[in-house]
Amino acid sequence: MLVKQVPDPSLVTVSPQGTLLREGVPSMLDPFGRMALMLALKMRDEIGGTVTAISMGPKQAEEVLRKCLEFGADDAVLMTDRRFAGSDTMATARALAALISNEGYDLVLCGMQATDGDTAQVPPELATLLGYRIYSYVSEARFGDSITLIQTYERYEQDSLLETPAVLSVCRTPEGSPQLPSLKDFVRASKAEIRTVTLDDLQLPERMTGLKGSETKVTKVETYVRETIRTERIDGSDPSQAADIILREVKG
Amino acid sequence: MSDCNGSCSTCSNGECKDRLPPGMLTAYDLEQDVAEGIMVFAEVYEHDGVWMLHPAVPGLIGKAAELSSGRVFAVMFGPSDLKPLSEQLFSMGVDTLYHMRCPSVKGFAPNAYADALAELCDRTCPASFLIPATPQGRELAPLTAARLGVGLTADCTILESDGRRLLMTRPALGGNILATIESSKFPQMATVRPGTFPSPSLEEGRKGTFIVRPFRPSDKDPEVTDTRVSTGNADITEAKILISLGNGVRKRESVDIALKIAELIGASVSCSRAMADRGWLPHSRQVGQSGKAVSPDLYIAFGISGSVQHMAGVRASRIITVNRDADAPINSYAEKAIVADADAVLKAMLRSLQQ
Amino acid sequence: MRTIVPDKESPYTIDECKIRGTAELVLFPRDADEIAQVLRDAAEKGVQVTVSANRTGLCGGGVPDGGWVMSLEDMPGIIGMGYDDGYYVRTGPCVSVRNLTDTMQMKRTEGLIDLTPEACAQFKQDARRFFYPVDPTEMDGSIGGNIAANASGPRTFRYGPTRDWVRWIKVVLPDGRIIGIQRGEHFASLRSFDCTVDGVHLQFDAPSYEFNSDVKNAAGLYVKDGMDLIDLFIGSEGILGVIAEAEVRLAEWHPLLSCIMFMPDDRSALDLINDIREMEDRPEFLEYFDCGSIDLIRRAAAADPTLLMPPEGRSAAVFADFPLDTGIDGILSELFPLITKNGGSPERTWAGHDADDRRRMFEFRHCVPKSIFDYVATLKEEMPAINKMGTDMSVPRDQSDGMMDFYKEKLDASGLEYVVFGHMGNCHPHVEIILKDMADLERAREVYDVFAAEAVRRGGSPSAEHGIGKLKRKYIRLMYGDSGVEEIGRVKAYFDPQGILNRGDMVE
Repeated sequence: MLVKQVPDPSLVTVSPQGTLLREGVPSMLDPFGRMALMLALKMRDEIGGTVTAISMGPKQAEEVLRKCLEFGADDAVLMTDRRFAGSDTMATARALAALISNEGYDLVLCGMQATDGDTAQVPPELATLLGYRIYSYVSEARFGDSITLIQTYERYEQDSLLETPAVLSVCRTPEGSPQLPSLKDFVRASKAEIRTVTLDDLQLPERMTGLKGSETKVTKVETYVRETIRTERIDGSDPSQAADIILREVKG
Repeated sequence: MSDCNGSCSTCSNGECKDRLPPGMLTAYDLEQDVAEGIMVFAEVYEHDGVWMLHPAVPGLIGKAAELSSGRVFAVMFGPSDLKPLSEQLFSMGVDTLYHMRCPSVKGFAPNAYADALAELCDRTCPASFLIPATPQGRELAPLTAARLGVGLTADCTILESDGRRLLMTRPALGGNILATIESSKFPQMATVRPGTFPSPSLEEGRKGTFIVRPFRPSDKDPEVTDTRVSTGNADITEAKILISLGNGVRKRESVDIALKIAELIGASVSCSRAMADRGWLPHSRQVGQSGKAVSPDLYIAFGISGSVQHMAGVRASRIITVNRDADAPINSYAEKAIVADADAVLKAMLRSLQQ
Repeated sequence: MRTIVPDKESPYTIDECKIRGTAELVLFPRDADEIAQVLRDAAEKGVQVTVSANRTGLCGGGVPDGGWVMSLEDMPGIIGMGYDDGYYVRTGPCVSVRNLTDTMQMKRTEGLIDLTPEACAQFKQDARRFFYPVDPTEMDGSIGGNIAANASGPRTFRYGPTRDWVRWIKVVLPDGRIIGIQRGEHFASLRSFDCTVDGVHLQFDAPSYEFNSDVKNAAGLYVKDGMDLIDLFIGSEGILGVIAEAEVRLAEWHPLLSCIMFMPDDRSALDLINDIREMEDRPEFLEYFDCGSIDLIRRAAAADPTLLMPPEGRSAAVFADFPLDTGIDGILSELFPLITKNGGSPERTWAGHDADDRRRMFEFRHCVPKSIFDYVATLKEEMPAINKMGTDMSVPRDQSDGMMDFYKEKLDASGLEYVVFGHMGNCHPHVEIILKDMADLERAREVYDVFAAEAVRRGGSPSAEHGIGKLKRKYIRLMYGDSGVEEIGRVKAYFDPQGILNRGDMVE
């Protein structure tokens, strides 16, 4: 189960000059990663096994792993090494693939995407590198003699039979998931140890990951300055008045 | 495909052989010097028995034709009924159209498609490969890129070229920073957010080369036991007026109310990610960095706080917001910011329209 | 200066108590001088002026009864920062608590002036985080309004009310003179003031009654022997002057563990609260939700997927915030046995400490008053005269259980439906009566008066945090007698002889 630490998206704001204000913004467990965690926990409860939370990032990413433990993950691994820094999705997928294959996990759940990068590229790339099956956009799992995954595409959804080894990208929180950690799990997690894995532990050549192992390079960064407009603030304590204002605008 | 052939581009000299997981050994070797032209993935879908191009495709082909110094390739997957689409594609600017067919593959098969696309890239050596950032495209592109061992840039909103080099620009970390990204290998792959580029003007009667190629099913693709067409889809990228619902909409009935209002005023209903995640509206209606780019004349946002990710998909001439929080970020984009309960205002709008 | 003529449905003639007043004109001064100008013009014309900001009051303080409304909403800016024995912020009167809290949390000091050398830069570089610790629940309320009402909230349990965090105010007196009152500079001798502030000589006697500071109390002018002049204005509900600017202190932020403990019934939850109060490390925040409140949340969460759904089975709940900075192990080892002893369990206790989880837990809590508010709003469509009936009464700790029994006994006898929730840390629960019709409203009004008298009899306050405004004036008489009302009137007349400012608030 892979998670990522991202800044709380509802708290990132943009200054009028267009710079992102991330200072002081608390980091959080990525919402999609959280969905993946919930599905992983549910699968564990249904079919057994253990759930290991894996995150690649700086030391602070421990916080999100701790969070996963609080929700009930059995174990957590932090992949942290400054030589991972600057990884694009392929370089990230290679490092993750190395760990997953070394440790022999046969079912990998990821959030459909992380809300900071939004690329959604890591799960399919990871599946390809590992030679695992890919089940994208899993919105639900049904348990019986076999496990049926419901995959949601743009215009249809499909029921697919789960066969391992596989990578799942998850796009919805399963029903009946714990909404918050229990105090009991909180205490257990606060005492748990988080394993740290470096590039050397992975036995992955340095040029395969990080900036050196990336197949894409950022060559230019520009701040997009939007025109500031004058906003008319309207008190809408009377809904029908507010409705009329909108309908007038609709009529142009 | 399972052995290291010594020329793979993800490692060299086979030194990775003993340590790396299977699959990482596999990469196609591209003849970079001959890479030329732009390939476009032409996503299609069936609607009431008729095959159609995904609305994101024409803009992409138009852009490819504008950027390419060589040929414009397009590739589509599906049965022979697809053939009528070829004329459309040619008139948009496609020079060579590959129609991939496999009688035993029904519906979207990501691994089979990706195998076929990787092989096709190997054969045709396009300099760039553009894929719509639809759910299918966003799955297919990384599967293909990983097979080819090349880079991939997600959800681009600006594409420029410098000879064969493709400069791919995407909003980073929420839309107010634009990062320009270049790939280190051919083909340079990018997914492009639907709605980004306008459809090209058509050149009726324009001719191109039509090539039918077979492809093989993949044992990696899942066994699909049932497929259901989801209801409530709509193309929000073309709408002139959008009623957009977000997390601040708390009542389920408000979704139906919004759909009714939309019908009455000739608008479409879109939503933020929160709403799509809740399953109250399909992902096809989602606006934003992970959804669609929209450019209506009027964007009426109900209960949308306006995260940078959401606003990255909104290019409206005018924005009106209805939000409980007077300080919601979206209000700084709005001409009129109404501080009110979204559910209540929607209800009042419908009431007023029905009178 | 902007002015508008309010129409029948103007937002400027109503506040959160949902009673509508009338006004001839709304004026929007942009600074202290313009406030003074408005007051002088009004005095000349003999027009009364009602001051309003974000109109979140619950007792009609900002509802005009004719005359002019002076809206301070064109003074919404945070002005600057300073540092003495801690950081402090100077703001305009109409800065919302939310805006202040967010700005400080994110350290957005751009555009703020330094009140002491380099204060902004120092604040920005400070590795620690700071916050404004008065959490009045209604985050949209203005700082000016919060000071005028001496707002308090759940965190008052640890941090005290607004009063404790105000170090300076700029006040425009009803005659248009402007004074800056710094805490610690002007004191009464017993109850007599005789001092000169910014060239304005003030000589008057504060009321002689005993202001109940043993409980959370927002009823009447605050008085105390040897009191600071600034404290007379804080909580004075704007009857003595208009707060044009203020400086509030910030507290150092530390991580918190929020716990919602689900308990089998009301009694066990109240017992747990009593036990938690005795803990060595007291929580910052201690709230109670009876089974009825949790049922309300359950109903709301069934319709709104963004809300947390209470665990299955009927239960009451206790909400507490524990500081995470020092020895959480000690706190937990003390807390665990208390939970189990009273019939709860660590499995049926939610624990959240990151911003997102805590935000959702506070939404969960806010859901009770919101559900009631929404319910009343729908009732109002049929019965425009119906109103929310919720108590706001505090009693001393040793009276808390007795008062709870009293509420229960009277309400059960009246046949009214109700839920109880709120700040049990300060022995200040809200009893919300779920009205069904106008007959219920009448009965509710009767029990309400009985409760108020009982709270006063038990040494408590009939208005712990919402203040008096126009709706609860009779409780001033209940608490302080005719002489008390007269004394408040005398201070009011000293500052505002013509009675033009916020007429009808606190006293008639």
